[in-house]
Amino acid sequence: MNDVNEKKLENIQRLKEDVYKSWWRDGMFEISFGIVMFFIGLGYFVPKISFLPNTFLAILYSRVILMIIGVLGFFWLNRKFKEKYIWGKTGYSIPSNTSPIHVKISILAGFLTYILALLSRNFLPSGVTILLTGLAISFAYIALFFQSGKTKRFLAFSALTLGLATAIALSGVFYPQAIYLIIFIIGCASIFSGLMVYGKFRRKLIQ
Amino acid sequence: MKDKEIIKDIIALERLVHEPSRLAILTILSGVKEADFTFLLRISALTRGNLSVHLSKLEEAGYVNVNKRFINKMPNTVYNLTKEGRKAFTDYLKNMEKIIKRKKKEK
Repeated sequence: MNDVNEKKLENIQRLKEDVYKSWWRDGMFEISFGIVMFFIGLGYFVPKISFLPNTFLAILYSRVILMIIGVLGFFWLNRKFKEKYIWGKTGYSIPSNTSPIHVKISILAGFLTYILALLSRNFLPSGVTILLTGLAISFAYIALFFQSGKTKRFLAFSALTLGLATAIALSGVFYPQAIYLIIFIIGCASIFSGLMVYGKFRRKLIQ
Repeated sequence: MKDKEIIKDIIALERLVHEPSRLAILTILSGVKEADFTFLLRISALTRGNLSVHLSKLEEAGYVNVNKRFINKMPNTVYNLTKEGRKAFTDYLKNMEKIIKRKKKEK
């Protein structure tokens, strides 16, 4: 009797993880997130070689505006892609707002690291700021790993970000350029990974 | 004495939730804000008829909210757990864990 109950609880846990994973299985998160990152990165480097007025560039690079554009752009794209390519085949679902404790801890760690990175700009060498910003993004990917029912590719992204930040910090590229370079490379990697995941997902659906 | 307590806990398990198909539906809905019929059908692997019957029972009990709408002129039915449904599901899990712990202690 006890074994049956234990098995039942295990199955409930597994089914719940399956539900969490179903939101991330199609690669749409990476594609939409990647597109936003790609354009934010590109948007920094392209005007450098064009003749846009300085005030316009200052507004464009304001961190708050970039964050708002990034978050809104990501949610809008993700929903549009899901509507167009996914929900018709798999059914519609919106994930729950509740997050496991690991997610909250990772987000807090990422946020604190980012604040440290901002503070370090005035006191420490540029390389430290780059490394700390990379670490903050890395924590965000760890949060995603837990939120997505332990989808392993987000851990790979976390390692990639940290590796990239270390390499760029050591190579001597200065602060703002280095961060936009990281964002740009992550964006490209994210789109590539998303397309691969979507390809696999589609093949499975057809089977 | 301990046996009596275990029996009490077993009786406390709600029948409506205890049925495997309904438990699966509640588990799925507990992991999402809302989901439509096709999603539930795919994840639960139940047949259309079965899923429909169990969803109606859960709706009658006030555990599941149903919202019918149209997407591109196609009907789409969306389900989500009500407060009572979420409470019944978490209470059920707590009771199950209690029973398992007690049995383990006895061993």
